[in-house]
Amino acid sequence: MATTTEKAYVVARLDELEPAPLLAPGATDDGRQRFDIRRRFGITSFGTNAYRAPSDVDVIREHDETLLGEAGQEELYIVLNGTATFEIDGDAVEAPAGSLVLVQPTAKRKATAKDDGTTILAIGGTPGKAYEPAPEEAAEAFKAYNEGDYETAAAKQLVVVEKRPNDAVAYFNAACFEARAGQADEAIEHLQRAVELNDRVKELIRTDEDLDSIREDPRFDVLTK
Amino acid sequence: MVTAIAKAYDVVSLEDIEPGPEHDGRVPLNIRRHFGIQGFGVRANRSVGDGHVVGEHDEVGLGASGQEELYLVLSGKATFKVDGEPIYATAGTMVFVRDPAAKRSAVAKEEGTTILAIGGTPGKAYELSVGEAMHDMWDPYRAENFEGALEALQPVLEERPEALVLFNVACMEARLGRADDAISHLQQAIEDDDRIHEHIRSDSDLDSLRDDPRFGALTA
Repeated sequence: MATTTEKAYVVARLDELEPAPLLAPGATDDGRQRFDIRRRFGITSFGTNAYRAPSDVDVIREHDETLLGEAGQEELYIVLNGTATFEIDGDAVEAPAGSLVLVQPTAKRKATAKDDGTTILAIGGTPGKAYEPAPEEAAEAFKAYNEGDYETAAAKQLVVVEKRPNDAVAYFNAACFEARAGQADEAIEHLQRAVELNDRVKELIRTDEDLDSIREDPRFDVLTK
Repeated sequence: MVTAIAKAYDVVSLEDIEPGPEHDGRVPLNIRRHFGIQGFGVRANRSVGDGHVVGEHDEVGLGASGQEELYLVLSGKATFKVDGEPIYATAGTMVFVRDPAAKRSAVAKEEGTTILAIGGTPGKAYELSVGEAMHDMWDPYRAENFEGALEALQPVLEERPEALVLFNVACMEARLGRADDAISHLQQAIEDDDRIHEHIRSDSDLDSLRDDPRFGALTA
């Protein structure tokens, strides 16, 4: 029964969590799984996910934490099972179970599983900044996007944008869903807003194929220069 | 070579983190301090025998910051108790304590049971607990170097003149025979948070002040 009183605590087992859906439609299923621990528990003060992959698959995909030049998260990776080879700014680091790897925001990092079932816990937070959990609608939008229901994705993302009116990436994502849903005017308008908030969104606009349906639009060019 | 630029990354095995002093059946492995993490709190505790691998506490007491805490059993077995309810936990069990007021503890069922704890305060940038901010005072204090302990507290006092800091400063001053300074810092501590009273009543560091008429007024 649903109640309005939140329980003081929640218990779950790492090996019984439902994996989160793959993010991009048509993403190759290479056996990598992501477990959204933060969302599962409703944690709001730090980010935390777990990842599991078979051997030779990237258990942590290459990324850094300075998307669009914004101050990013410190990330701590804890190898819970198996062994992973991290590659951080070009250095290879062998990390068996029990290893702790702290990575600064600007460093490019990835980790490849060496054993089947290699599992890594990732924890993140930005020094000096309160953690801002993504609104629930963001996950719902990506779920709809993943299922090819772009109109629902766009509608959910509009709620995200309302909740986070200064988040350039939120506007960019809204534009992607709208472009997929054939809503060119809305997509262009949201891209304009995203670029106003952070000029470096142009880097994303130039290459993201979600926007292909509006590339010929006369209003599009100015958004990439 | 020492450089001014922080390294892009740092790696350590949990086994190689310098354990803190054993207390109440556990040793703390302060992962946050080892790395100098500033974005969230993270530590592990390892049990000695079947000790309290998580000591009973809540996150609303004196000096607490209302954190939510996620515990993950890394190895061994433990029985958690949250608000009186037992939770049997083995490696891979996660217990998220959302309510900062919930009393929580865990007793190990195996030697060397290791539990990871991650914490943060919703809506607030991560800040060291005041207890941890005062960490540098303990080595000199244990060596009865009260001057050294007071010196270690000075920067914390300037940055965070909170009840627990003022109280510890007063304790060191009392040990050093500086009654006037100690009384004045105790007064400030009470003004900041009167829950400090119970510490003032019982802490033997303040014994040199107990016959001071101003001290009676503080605890009345």
